[in-house]
Amino acid sequence: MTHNVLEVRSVSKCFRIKAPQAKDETLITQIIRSSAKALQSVWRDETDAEQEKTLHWALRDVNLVVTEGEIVSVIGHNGSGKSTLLKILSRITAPTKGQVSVRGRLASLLEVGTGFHPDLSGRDNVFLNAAILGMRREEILRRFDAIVDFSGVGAFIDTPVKHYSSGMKVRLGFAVAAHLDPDILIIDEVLAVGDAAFQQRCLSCIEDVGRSGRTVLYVSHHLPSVARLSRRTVLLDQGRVLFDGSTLAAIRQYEERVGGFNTRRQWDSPNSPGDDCVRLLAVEVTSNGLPVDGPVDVRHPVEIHLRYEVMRGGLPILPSLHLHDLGGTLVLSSLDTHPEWHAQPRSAGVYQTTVVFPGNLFNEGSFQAGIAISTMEPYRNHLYVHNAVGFSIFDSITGDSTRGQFRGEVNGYLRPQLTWNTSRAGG
Amino acid sequence: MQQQVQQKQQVIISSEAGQLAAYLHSLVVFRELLFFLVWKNLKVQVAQTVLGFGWLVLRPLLNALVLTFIFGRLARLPSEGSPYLLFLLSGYLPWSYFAGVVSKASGSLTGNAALVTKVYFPRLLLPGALVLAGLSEFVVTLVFFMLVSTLYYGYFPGLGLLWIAVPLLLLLLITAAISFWLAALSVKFRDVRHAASYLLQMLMFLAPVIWPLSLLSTRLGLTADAWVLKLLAGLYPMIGVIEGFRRALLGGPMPWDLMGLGFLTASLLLISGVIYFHRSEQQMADGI
Repeated sequence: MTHNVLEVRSVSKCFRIKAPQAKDETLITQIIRSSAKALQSVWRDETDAEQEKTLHWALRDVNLVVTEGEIVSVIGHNGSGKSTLLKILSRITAPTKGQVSVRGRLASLLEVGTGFHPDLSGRDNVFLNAAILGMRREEILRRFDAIVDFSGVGAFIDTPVKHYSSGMKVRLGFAVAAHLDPDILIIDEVLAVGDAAFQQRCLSCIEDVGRSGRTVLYVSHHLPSVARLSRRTVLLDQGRVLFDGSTLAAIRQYEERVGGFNTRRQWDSPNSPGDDCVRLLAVEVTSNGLPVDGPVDVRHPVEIHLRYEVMRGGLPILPSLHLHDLGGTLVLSSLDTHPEWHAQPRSAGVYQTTVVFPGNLFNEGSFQAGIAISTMEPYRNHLYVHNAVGFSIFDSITGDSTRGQFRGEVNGYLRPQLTWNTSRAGG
Repeated sequence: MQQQVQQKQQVIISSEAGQLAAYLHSLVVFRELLFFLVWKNLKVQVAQTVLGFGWLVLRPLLNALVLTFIFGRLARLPSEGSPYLLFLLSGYLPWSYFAGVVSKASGSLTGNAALVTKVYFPRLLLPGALVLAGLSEFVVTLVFFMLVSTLYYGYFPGLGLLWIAVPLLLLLLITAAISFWLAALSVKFRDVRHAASYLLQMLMFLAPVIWPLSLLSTRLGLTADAWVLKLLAGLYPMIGVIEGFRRALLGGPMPWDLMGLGFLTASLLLISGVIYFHRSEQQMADGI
């Protein structure tokens, strides 16, 4: 039987946003009124008269139960209430309504390197930081060498932290936190900084924590790491729990919510991307030649149309397309190598180029297309518009897509039509 | 494993502030952090000043020399038979401890915003660590006082020096009380810090730092045990603190009545300060 280590019961959190002060008051009346008010509010937190303040509900009726040893991710837009939820769990701020019960030692890593003092050495900061995060002196002494090892700061441990690079500070901060040994670990956006190798080390460290039977609550915008670390994900939207279940389903819902990206972009000539050689005028996504609004059926083709003006003739123009998922991972790159135009000098003028992705190519999900136009011989890039347009793919599950009658998760970026041959081999 | 989980401490987080007793207990649980914060304050102070501990002595001494020149030499304020410099230092040293800690503590929560909005620990430790860290500086300046007094003036306080523990305790109480109050208030009202630094300057002249308390009886016709004097000492515990230090360092009967009244007020302020701090602690991260 597993125990609930974390229970969030209908938690709401309300912030007050002060309305701008009225202008027609003199300084003296202002002083008299506010001193009367000040005396009143020293002991009382709320007064009925405070109607001028507007309320903002950062969390509304959030329920969440986490059992021992679970790794749960929390995703959502900026302002969805993720950080507020974590702050309540780590006792930094109190809920307005509802109750949270926490069993065991909880450590939160809301920002790596919290409380580092620039004038103190790395060694002093390790002790201070560990104590702030709740470690005892003897524990710190016992784990000190392991912490320094993990951080890779090495010989600089006695140098004041103000001389550290930002990467070194992050590594030292994470190293302290990784050796906390709590029952519940809360991690918020740790991977936003640090190089790829260190991020990898952090991720495997978090995985180790999870494998050792401890509970992890992980908050991130970095969807691939969410998918890698946790099976269960909570999707927050405008302070409410929109979805709580399998990570892949949560990410898909999140992408659809975020997927309010452009399906059509146009630029006026003075501001259009490009240089004196070539300029991008417009990009548009269509499906079967029709404008796209909403997700595209997985069986249908997607076309991306580029309109661009070649200002200087005589150069071979090379348009290309770079497709990313919402986590920023490159899915594919493609170049226009049509024999009629490829590597051929082009005269000045406005051109339209269309690239067609066949139906039954992409898996479900959202994709953003970056557009580049270059010239060859010598190679020169004239423009690149990152995430110029985007589209989402969905499967209506009618049985004639490449998933057939299968109802479960099909993972990966692509889900092309492949040939499967089976024959009876004996028996 | 299941057994273990059940034995583990359960924390309930809700909109209520929780019991004061539990809060006081959490201060005990976090006592090592208090130690680290005190240690950090000392280390930072040493690391940031070129002269290190030299500054601790230099700053009050320079101030004291200027005050001695103006009030001792030019204005010729009486100094109850002691050299004016010693008379002044005996009151000025505890005062600068009080003023220094209170002004730092009133900004201790807003100044540590990065910490307060990111990690949980009893916030009372932040002003609390300042009260304790300032003590080391105070002790250094007291030792310096002894050196000046014995080597330059050839005067060493006798066994009466042992009484210094009493005004020292009172000084700690009143400093902690005012620090806790102002630290908590400064989160809610941003101008508390500025008001505090202004008031501290004014309050120094109202305390018998540069003038002897006996001047009240000679100039205003108050007898030494006038009720007005006792009322003042009750309302303003620093009077008892300074008189106590002065008598312990320079000799004379300890002002038990003044200190006793000061203890009463300081204890009330400290208790209400801790209660108020605890009550407002949950909203601190939102206010910063």
